Amino acid sequence: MVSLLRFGVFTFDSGFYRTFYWYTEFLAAAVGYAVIVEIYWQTLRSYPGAARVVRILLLLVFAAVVLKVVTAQLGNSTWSPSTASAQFERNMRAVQAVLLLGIIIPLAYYAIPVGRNLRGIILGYGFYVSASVLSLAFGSLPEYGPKPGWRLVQPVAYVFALLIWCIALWSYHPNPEPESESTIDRDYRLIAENTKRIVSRAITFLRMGSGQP
Amino acid sequence: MSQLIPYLCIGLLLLALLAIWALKNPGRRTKIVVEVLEPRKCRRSEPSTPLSRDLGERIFRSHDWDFVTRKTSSDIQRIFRRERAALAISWLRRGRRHVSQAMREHATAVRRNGDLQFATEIRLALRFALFLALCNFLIVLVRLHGLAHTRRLIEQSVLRSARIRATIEQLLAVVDPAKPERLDKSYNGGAIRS
Repeated sequence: MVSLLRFGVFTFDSGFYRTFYWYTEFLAAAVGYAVIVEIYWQTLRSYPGAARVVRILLLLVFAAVVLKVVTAQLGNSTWSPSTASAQFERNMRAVQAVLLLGIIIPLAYYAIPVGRNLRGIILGYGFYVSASVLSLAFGSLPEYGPKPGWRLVQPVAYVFALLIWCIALWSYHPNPEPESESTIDRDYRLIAENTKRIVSRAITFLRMGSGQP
Repeated sequence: MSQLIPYLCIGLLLLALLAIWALKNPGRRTKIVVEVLEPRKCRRSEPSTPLSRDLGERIFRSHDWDFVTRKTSSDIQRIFRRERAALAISWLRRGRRHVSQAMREHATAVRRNGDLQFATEIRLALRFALFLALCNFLIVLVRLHGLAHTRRLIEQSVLRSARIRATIEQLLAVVDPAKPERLDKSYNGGAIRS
């Protein structure tokens, strides 16, 4: 839809296109947060334990971003999005990348099964976000900004992400439901203590075995 | 240019993690993990732990090596060194596998547990990371330098850290006479307490 709007603006008022492009880029980056929220809800719906870890990680990221924005505002009172459009979008995409990391790391750590559709959405969007962060990082540099090369990366990555989404979402594959695990209601502290004991004992053996006192 | 580094790191880290996550296919792994939940109870009662302390000590101690160097020819010594290094690496790998499996079991058991504690999980993950780092470091050392040399290196580093500790204690004693006592209490001979 955004692309269609841009095409309309380009056709009727090509002079306004450049400004319009960057403002709609912010819009697309803002909408990207909705994709991340949806990924969070869909993947961790049935896993309250892992969801708690992700929630705290995301809150930490949010707190870090707020802190960064506040300190940046205090340090630079003349900042405006129109003068630093690439920087602004780069920062928005970087935050998205960190949020995605905050979701994917627990997904991998807790081995949470993800259906083909959702896996495709995460992979496609993750690829697009990482490519955007990398290209916009170069684009925000004064010596790279005027060069057209870096601008090509984002549209190409977008097409590639759409291709991944198209393949992954071609047919409906629901998220695998967690299997009924009879031992799951065990006391968390007991499980954590057992695991801690195993790892600590292994570290001690390693130190003793290798000759450390 | 230095302002680029954090963005490059974030972008590349996300790309790498996506690739690893996509290749690992957690959906397939779940079934395996669920199967190993029950054996955890049985393993507790096993007489010998998978990462045997006696075996580890025997592999790394220098008694056998001293005997071989005294009584045998250089060919046999070379074979002994090679075999003992292979044995040490195998012991370390076995330990790494066992602890990784325990961590996988833990993750599978707690991922749906509403009582999960973020701080405990982070501590466990860090402890596991320390174990992996130690294990991999020893494997690399044994591979590169052989078992006897690795042992010497570790002994030297332990000696050095003891000297550094003694120096710090002396310095602290000058600054604050109460500090060395506290340091003694908190230091447990280099062993990590559970």
